[in-house]
Amino acid sequence: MKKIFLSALLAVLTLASCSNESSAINTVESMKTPQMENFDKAFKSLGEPQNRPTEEEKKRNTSELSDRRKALLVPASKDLILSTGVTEAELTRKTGGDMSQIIVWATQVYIQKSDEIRRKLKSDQSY
Amino acid sequence: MKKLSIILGIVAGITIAAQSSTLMINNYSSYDAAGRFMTVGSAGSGSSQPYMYALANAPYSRYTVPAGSYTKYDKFDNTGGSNPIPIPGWYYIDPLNSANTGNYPYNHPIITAVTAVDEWMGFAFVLTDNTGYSYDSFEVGDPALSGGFLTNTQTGANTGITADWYTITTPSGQITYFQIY
Repeated sequence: MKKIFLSALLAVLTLASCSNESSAINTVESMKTPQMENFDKAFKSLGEPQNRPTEEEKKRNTSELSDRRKALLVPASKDLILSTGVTEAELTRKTGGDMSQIIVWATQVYIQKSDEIRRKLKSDQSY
Repeated sequence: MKKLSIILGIVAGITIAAQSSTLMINNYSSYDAAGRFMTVGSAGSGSSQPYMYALANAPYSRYTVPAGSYTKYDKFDNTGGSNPIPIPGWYYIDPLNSANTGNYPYNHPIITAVTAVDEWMGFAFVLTDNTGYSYDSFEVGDPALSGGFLTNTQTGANTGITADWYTITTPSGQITYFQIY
């Protein structure tokens, strides 16, 4: 009898923790800044038919993203970097306008901001 | 507040220089991606360098990137709970000494040692739903490192879903991206 009760309790706790998890996922989305959302959109746009690799691009024996597709990521990357308080002049000085450096920098900002959101959610939920 | 943002921006700038290889994963699709997530020695597939497969993340039986999820990993020995999709450990294969081959937790010294040697190689996976049905299978990753075994991009015949694996390289470091649309 006691065993049944304990396993029922365990089941309830498991379900409860699962539902917490899904609400946490929703909140990560809702806590993203507009610049983070646009950064997501830019990466997602690479999957649209006109933005997929061309036959020429597929033939290259390298993983490096083509310049044509990098260009699609630059505007949202710049906005994300500027949203941290970096000035346009600083951005130009540090990257020399190089697409790869802009996207890599923005990705680091994105990862860092996502980590901050997750940490904040965790501390809000601690009980 | 503005000062803080500037400091954060500078820190981000420094982080780029300090990191050798970050991987960012987005699964925008409504399917789980489950399978073999692989690293390879920098000399490429078939070399005598150790290579690795990611162990299953809970609650799955294989390494799985759930539908709609995002994660990043900065190093092989830092894939644990600080990441949105933790990799609990690695199946490590040593072609020169089979006694070393086996499962290790992600923060084991043998994994730290391989961090300077290996690169992210790719993901051989199926798109599944939560009943375990497989819709399409993919072999996506770095074509050069995998010796042509993996391709940069692939589209599933049944789902029409595309998976891309690509790098963006700068003088101070590289980021690898794996995206499912």
